[in-house]
Amino acid sequence: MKTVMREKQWAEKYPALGTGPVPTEPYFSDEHYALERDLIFRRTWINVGRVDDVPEPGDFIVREIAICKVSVLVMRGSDGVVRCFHNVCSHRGNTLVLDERGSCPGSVYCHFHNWVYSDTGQLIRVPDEENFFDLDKAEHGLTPIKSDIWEGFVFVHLDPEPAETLREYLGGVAEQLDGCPFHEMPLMQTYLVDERANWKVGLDAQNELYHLPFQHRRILGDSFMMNDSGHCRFQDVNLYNYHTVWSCEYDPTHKPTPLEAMLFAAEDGVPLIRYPQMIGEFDFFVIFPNFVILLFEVGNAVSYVSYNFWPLAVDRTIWEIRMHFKEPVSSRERFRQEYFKCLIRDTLQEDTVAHENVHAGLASGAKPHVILQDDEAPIRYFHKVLEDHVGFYRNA
Amino acid sequence: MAEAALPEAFADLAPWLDWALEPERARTAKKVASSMEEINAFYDAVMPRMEEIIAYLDGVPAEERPAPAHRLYLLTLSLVEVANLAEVYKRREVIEACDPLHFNPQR
Repeated sequence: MKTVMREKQWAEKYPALGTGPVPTEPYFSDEHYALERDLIFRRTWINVGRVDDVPEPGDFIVREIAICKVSVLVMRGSDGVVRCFHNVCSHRGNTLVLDERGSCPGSVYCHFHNWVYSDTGQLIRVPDEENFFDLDKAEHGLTPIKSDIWEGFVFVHLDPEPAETLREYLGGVAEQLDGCPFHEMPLMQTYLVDERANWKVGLDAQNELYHLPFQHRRILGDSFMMNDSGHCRFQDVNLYNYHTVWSCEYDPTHKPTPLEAMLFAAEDGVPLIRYPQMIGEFDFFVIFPNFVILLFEVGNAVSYVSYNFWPLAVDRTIWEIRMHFKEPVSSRERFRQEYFKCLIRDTLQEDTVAHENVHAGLASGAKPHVILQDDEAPIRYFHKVLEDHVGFYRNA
Repeated sequence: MAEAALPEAFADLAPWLDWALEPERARTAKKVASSMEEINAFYDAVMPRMEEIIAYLDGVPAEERPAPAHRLYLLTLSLVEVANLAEVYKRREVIEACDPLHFNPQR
């Protein structure tokens, strides 16, 4: 066991983090939400998917960054390059692609007047072109959105001249996870969960283990390393420039359910795969502002879950949950993955109720602050980075 | 002769064929619509056969699974779908979670 059970160790490791309460207004204030839109979602790198979402030339997905009213067309061109564009026709501003995903080998066209664009974004055909005035098609391609790719994850930046490159922005997270074979763990399932809660309520709720032995006592009660009093402790917490990771170990005394025991009994002679990028057995990376990569061991393999918290309004969020598992080599492994998928899903269904109840409590305004303990330090850091961006209290 | 619904060795699981569903949302909907008694009966019938099912499916390449083997595979995914309910929660009243169908799977 690498986990140290000592109390208040993260405040010792990061004294600058402080120990005071955290204000609640950012969870429900319309003014704060507007600042988040302008100073965070328009000014940071936002994950919009993976290159695997558009594997073939002409494949596209459309992602809505609703808080900014931006529809992003992510498209792989005939040249194999993945590009991001505003999903808007150059003619009269119609929304160009109406499907959430699809394939348009060679070209996409607007349903309004059939303007046609190449899959690399150039305007290539305009019906009745002769009846326009000095129309130079070369000047009216799709409007690109600044984008970059790290380890297969596609990020966009709505500022055409970002202050930092994606690499600089990811900082220590990229250094920690560079080379991690995410491409060997294809997407198995995506869940979209419409929550009546601020986007930060869900993210914060996921960003600690304190609640596990309570809220998830039945389904995960003894799964993670706890001290003698039954309280979870992180194995490690790392704070990066804007991001965090906490890591933990599984509890070896965990009592498996009959199905779990049966599925994990024989490991099929496949050796345990451990990635050198992993810190613990369960690493929860929060990539500011709204993206999470959760890497964890499942039996003899490693899997990952990603979250995107998409704000629709100050009190409404789409929680996008993606589960990725490596290609199974046996039926037992396939059912083991299904077991883990259902276990995580059923756990997160408990969380959704809590997210909405917490939001309701916060939005009542009854409590000016929330109180955080030492093993909630990643939440404290998230709110520090949040305030560094929006400056809501800077001149207060 | 009509094709058997399930592989011969699993013909006795035929009463549970209405659990051989895809995609995931159909299995979840079946779970939601079933009583605890129905779920327990399904679990009790299939769980003891898991080793046998795994051994059988391992003998059939996943890409070329004939329809009876595919039904057996889907039925087993349903077993996994209900396992937390049958093994952990045991009673629906203790669950403090959203409607499972509120989670919208995309495939």
